[in-house]
Amino acid sequence: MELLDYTAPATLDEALEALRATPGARPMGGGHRLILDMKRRARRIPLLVDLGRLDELRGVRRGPDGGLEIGSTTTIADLVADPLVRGSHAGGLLADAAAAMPDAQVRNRATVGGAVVAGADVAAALIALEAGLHLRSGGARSRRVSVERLLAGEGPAGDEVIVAVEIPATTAQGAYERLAEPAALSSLCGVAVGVTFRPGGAVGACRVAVCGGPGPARRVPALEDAAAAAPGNGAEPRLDGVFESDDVASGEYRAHLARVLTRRAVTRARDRDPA
Amino acid sequence: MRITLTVNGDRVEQDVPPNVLLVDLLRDTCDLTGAKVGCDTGQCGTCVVRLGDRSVKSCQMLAVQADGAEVTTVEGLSGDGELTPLQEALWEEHGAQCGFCVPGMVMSLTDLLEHDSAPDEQAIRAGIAGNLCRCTGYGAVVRAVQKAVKDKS
Repeated sequence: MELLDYTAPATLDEALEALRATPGARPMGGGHRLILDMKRRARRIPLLVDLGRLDELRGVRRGPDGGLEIGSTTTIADLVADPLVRGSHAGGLLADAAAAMPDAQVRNRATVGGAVVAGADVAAALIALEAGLHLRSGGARSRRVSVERLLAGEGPAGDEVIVAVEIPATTAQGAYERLAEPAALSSLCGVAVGVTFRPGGAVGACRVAVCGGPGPARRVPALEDAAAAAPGNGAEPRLDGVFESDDVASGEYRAHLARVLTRRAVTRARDRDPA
Repeated sequence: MRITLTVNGDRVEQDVPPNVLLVDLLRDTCDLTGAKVGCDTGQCGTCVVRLGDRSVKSCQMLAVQADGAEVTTVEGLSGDGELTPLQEALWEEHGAQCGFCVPGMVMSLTDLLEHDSAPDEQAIRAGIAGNLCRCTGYGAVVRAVQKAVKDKS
């Protein structure tokens, strides 16, 4: 493996300084992706900055606006078991998405911050939940960006660390549905929805994020409009060019799956709606 | 880098380069060969050990990440020559064919049973989702866990 040096700082400031001081240095949460990349020699990393010893980055808190503040090195297993998360509107959707990860051992090590950067099932769920990120970098610099914008290309920069994932309070209900590729069990297509229902059960507003295929998780407005249209009152959403083809599935097939899975996810969210 | 960890109750102090995997430290330095390197890509689960109170894939972790941690391998689950009730049930239900996957299966299932004392079949199968058996002996493994759960209640 092409790894030259490693450090596990005790404070966030030390970690940020280490990242700033060594060009090409990388922050590490659980490390699954980085370690695999290094084994494949896809990366040569001069310095790994392990965030695993930063207690300040771990755990779930209630935010000032009533939402959730999730430390970026909280493991996926701890996230879905957390009483604050389970008791919130985000609990069901995050548990659905976490179950799509390969296995318990991965959920025990994988972190929320790593799952955001990976851009798969959990990232789609966080986009549907309108989650934001708090990033820090050396020299006390700090910025906030949504998960959606981050995955659309707005970072993180090499010396930036995701310190927290912030999920705003809302009354929307969430659910996640996917179809797994049978061999590797990764999602051919996954759909996360965050829906508010009107009295009587009709869809009020709906936020839809998808994953699967070469690109990272992203919002799909055409699916949102279709989900919010009255049943039988909308044409099938047009998804030309929304999904890419690869050696596993065509973009056309993924688009078909996305339409079906969106309907299923809305139904599942409706079953969860307390009203 | 100098690291100190506890392996099966014993203190281990060792100089390791940063690119050494936890599984290689356990096998090559600690001489504990229960955890194996099957696929080296995190899919097969033959390398599963316990870190703290959770099962992890030790080929997906650097040894330096385990500095200060408590690690338990299959060798540390019970006394010398003794079997845990889960291992006993695997023995009785023929849960091992060639046996290569069994240490990993045992560690994953021990974690499952510690966090869920009465898993149903679906939960048992989800509990070994990260463990591949090339002999495809999953049915016997599931029956063994069901037996261990039943015997305990």
